[in-house]
Amino acid sequence: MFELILAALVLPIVIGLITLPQKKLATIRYTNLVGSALTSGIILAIICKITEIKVFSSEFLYVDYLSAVLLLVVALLTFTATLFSLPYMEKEVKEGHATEKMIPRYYALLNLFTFAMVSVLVVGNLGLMWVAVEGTTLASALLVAFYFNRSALEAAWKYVMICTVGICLALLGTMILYYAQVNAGGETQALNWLYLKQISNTLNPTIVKLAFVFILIGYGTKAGLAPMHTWLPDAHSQAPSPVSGLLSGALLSCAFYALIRNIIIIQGTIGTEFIHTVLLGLGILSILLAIPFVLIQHDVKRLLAYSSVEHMGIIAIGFGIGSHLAVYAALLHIINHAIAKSALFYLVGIISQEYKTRHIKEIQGIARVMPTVATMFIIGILAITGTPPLNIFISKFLLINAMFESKMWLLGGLALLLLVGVFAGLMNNCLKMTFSSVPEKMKQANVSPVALTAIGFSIVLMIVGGIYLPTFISDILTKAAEIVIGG
Amino acid sequence: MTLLTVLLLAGAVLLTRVSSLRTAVGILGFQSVIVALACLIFGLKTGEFHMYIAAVLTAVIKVGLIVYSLWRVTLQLKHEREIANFNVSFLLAILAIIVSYGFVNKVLPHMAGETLGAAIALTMIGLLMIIARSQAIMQVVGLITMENGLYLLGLSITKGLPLIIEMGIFFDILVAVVVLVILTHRLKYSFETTDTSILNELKG
Amino acid sequence: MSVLFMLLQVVVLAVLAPLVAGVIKNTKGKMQSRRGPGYFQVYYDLRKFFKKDNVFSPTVSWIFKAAPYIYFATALGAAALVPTLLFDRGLHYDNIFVLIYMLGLGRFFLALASLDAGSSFGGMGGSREMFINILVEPVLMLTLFTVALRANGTGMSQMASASASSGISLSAILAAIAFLILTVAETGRIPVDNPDTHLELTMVHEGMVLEYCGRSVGLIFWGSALKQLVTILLMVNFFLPWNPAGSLPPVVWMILKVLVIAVVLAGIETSTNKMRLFRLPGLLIATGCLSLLAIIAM
Repeated sequence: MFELILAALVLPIVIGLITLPQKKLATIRYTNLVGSALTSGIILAIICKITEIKVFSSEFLYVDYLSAVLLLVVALLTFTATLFSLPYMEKEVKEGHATEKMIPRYYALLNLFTFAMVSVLVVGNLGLMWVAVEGTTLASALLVAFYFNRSALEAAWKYVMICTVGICLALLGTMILYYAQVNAGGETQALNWLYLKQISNTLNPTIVKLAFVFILIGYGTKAGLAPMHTWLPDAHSQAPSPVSGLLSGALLSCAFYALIRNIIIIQGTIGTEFIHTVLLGLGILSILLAIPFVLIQHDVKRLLAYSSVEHMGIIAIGFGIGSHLAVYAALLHIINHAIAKSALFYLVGIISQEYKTRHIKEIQGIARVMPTVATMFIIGILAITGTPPLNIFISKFLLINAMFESKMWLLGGLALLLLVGVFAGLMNNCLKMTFSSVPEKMKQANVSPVALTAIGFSIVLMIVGGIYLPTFISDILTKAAEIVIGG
Repeated sequence: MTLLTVLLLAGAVLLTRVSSLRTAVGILGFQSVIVALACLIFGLKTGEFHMYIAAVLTAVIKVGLIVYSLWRVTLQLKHEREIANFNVSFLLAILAIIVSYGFVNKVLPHMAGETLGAAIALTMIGLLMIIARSQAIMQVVGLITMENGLYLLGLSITKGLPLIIEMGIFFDILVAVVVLVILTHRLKYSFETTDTSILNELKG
Repeated sequence: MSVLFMLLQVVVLAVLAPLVAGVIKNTKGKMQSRRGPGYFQVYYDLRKFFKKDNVFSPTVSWIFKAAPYIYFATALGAAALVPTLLFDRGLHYDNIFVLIYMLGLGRFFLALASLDAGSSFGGMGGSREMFINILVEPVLMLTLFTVALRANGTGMSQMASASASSGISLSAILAAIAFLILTVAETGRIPVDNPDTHLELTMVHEGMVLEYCGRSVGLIFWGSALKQLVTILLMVNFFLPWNPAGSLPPVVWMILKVLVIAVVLAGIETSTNKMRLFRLPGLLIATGCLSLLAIIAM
């Protein structure tokens, strides 16, 4: 097991290092495809092993069911991202947005990013988890600034600044938590998650509460919770589309994972009431703040980015309700959102490549120009707004169910209303894009089959997930929910 | 130790007044040297060996690599000047010092070590610089000041984090500065200036 | 008995104030490669002024006529209150606030009177003086608080004896530097204000008193010289109270220190130029920061 984890960490770095000095694009493509497939395979193997041995814990590594849920997300997403990057970046070079010299750098950074994300999920030490989360910011910053044009630089600068400031606050919170640990006499295994969980009820509640506030602000900035989400639309819209999909789907979820790990310890000390209230508040605020921007948006990628903010709000509400059903729904939502949002970002990538613009008003008539893409786009939009029988509907439904089960009538009603608003905005924009008349200069476009496979894979997962959730996954989710609640 | 605290705070408050980028980076270097000295003194007081290593690491990475790379960048940004309302930020910095010492004295009187108030003040002044300054390098200086403050905070309330986490944090800050320096170079290349107040295109 | 000593102190300080002003002028002159006006020139100037008549503009009210007297009276009062640790005055009301705000009262009336004569120079000088005063006063109080904190009280004799018994520390050095800058500001020397000029662009205190002549201007000159001596004495007694042991009696050391401070002031005046008026807040906030650091370092 330890070897598997080590392989999952080392393989991306090796592939990245191999890619960097390469000149022939074909070799780069094949190495990365194979490498990414291998990495995802290894991660899936880790997940299978976890279902057998339940927990793996060594001095610095710690993997359990909760990590398994997010490892699944990362495995799926990195594979589809790499698969989609192959034709996408090729076309970008052809169109002139990128030069051939930039491509090795792109793939190397992509692998570094994968490594950083996997390392967040497998470390068992809160301090090292902090280091890994900051590492993901830095690895993705150069990807956001990849095209090095004005908007990309602006987005990258804001991204690095805001996220690093937020992460510094999280460091402050982690240090205060360590101080609480030292006070309770347990400084030998500093910030070890398992150990902290055992002694969590001996820690000083005031200190831990103070730590919680800082940790929430810090990791919440990284996870895209309002009001710290201001970097999100810029960064996710300016990055290349495969990277946007990874950022929205995997990175936000990893940040949430770090937050949840800290919360599991904190709720052992100060109880769940304060934590849940704050999470619920931030969740509702995220949805509230996302809605007006979704409704009046011009740029299609920013539209999807604000939708990510809204979905992160939903996940926060799920964790904020705290019942077993709610946490199960939130974890399921993490997986579903990752699959759906990444597919949407890839689709929008193809569309904006064809139409050479990201403005919604100028993208018209996708149905005539690229029929397959249009179908998948409609399925994706239906999924992201929570329409049955697609996967996000299941998790949203379970979440609202949990809200009403926990007797939060007002909150449930409010959430339903807000989600209707988002549905209206997204559908309005996207139906206009798909079914209107074609602008004159667009003709029928050919889309690379590789790209379509990458997206089709996610679409199939979405449809299957909406109809039938395999027991294997449901099992992992249930056990992970138990871990979060504090079993 | 009192001398170090006073020098740290004086340097930090002075940071809010400078308009030349090179002076700011110089003051930052001075500040990092003092933080390394403070770590050394803590090590001498508590006798823990890993603090010496941490002090050396601080000196090498924070003073050496980071300040050196920032210095190199400012050599290319000869014509950039920071224009801001200095008196307001100076007053806010002094207010930050008062607030942090007041906070430490009222809320945490039992742990009022000498450097705790200074550490919190340093963090707040760093945050102030990131918010109130528009030059790219000044924002990076503010970030490093904030990290210095957090490091000093860790030193004051615990005996420093375990060495491997410290090394991870240092490495992170180093990579962050590298990334920011790359971005600053690109900013200069694309926009002809590193004044971030012109980065206002992405709205809504 | 102590009342007698107090009167003696007032008379001595009033008599010696022009001498100190003369020392400063002479030192400045010598530093600027001139001969300087002579140590007793200020006495001759005062005698000249007292022989002349008062000329008042027709628009003035009683404030204009009374202001010089009020100013001089407050300066005398301040001279009475200054702690010199030479004798026990047994006062119960020698609070630092009384001294500072007495001086402030004098300045207030002078500023009012500057508006009274109806000339634009007066108004300009008065408003600038008040602008500087708004900044100087809180910082002055903050710096004096560093001494008060050490003495656990604001009675001036208490503060003076507490300063005398404490050693040289970082906090004391910082406070001394801060108060030196404040002395420059309070006495209206370069870089805050130019006491020699009569050009409208550069005058603050001189602009305020431009409309006076004769006996009134004599009183004002004497009053400001006295105020200067009081501020220097505050500096010496609160912030530089350390005497080398034995040898000379403390009176002699105090006189020596006053002379040294006078020379230092002259040196500062010669070496810098007058600061732009709107850069003064920066200087004064920096001074405030120094005193804050002095409090922290305590």
